[in-house]
Amino acid sequence: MAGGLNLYGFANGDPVNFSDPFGLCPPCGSDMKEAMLGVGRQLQPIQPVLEGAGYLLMGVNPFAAEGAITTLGISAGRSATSLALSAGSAASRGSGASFIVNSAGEAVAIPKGAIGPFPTGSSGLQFTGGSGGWGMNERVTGVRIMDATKNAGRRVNYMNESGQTVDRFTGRTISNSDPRGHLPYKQP
Amino acid sequence: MKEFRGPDDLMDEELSAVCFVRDYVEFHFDGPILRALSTVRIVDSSGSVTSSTGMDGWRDALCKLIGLEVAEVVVDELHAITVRFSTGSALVVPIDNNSKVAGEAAHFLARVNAPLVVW
Repeated sequence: MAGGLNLYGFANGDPVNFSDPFGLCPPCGSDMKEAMLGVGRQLQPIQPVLEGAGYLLMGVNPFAAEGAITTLGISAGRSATSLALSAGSAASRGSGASFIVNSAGEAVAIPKGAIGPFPTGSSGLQFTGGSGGWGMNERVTGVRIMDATKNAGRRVNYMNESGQTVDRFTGRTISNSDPRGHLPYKQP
Repeated sequence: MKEFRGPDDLMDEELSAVCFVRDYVEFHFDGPILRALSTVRIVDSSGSVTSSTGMDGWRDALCKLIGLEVAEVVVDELHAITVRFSTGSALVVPIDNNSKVAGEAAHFLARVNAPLVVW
């Protein structure tokens, strides 16, 4: 594919065997695999738009047999903050988003039912108020993507209802210095 | 019902709990939470540091703040969040770049499942 966009970047180019780099759902069932393949299919026609922007929000329509993945929003700039602001201003903020995808094709799973994207006060976006899904523990209620700062790169952070950083598989709190709490995420 | 959008709204609230979580500390105000990921300090009314994360007795010093009422909150975006209590002593949470651990220094949570404010 022209432009170098890796439709299956989220699965190390192997969506069939599904080894996603974030380990979002190593033992997950066919629903997750199908969803990820849907993300890949949706990315293809909008590749030029995505490369000019930074992030996509995608949702899974549970009532559609085919084409179940839909694009809900596209960031106006290359920062996570811009997606939070553009999606919010476009009134698409709600609980329908399932993944955040960057131009490298890396998908970040959003806990089921979480609402967002909301800004973080500093540079980033967040979804809150969900619960588990995609192989995550039910105590995982939200996810943040923080833009790079002077002393930290772009990163993904899963959290519980109190906003504490957690391991997404166990739902247990982890130290702020624990690298599991700050998963690196490519610059779009 | 009072709406909490940031630390400024903690005025007149009481510190209800100090919660030690893994390698950080949370300050609870009967709902809202100020989470300190950086090294916190307690200063007296003259501005002298009386305790700081890691000093002997620092946990006891923090717990002694429980029950105090917030008299003033100053959020200096480049330096620190300062919560001053009615006794004159204050809790200082540094938020400058050098104080950040893994890119972050403090969080404010208005209520359960609310979006975080991050410094």
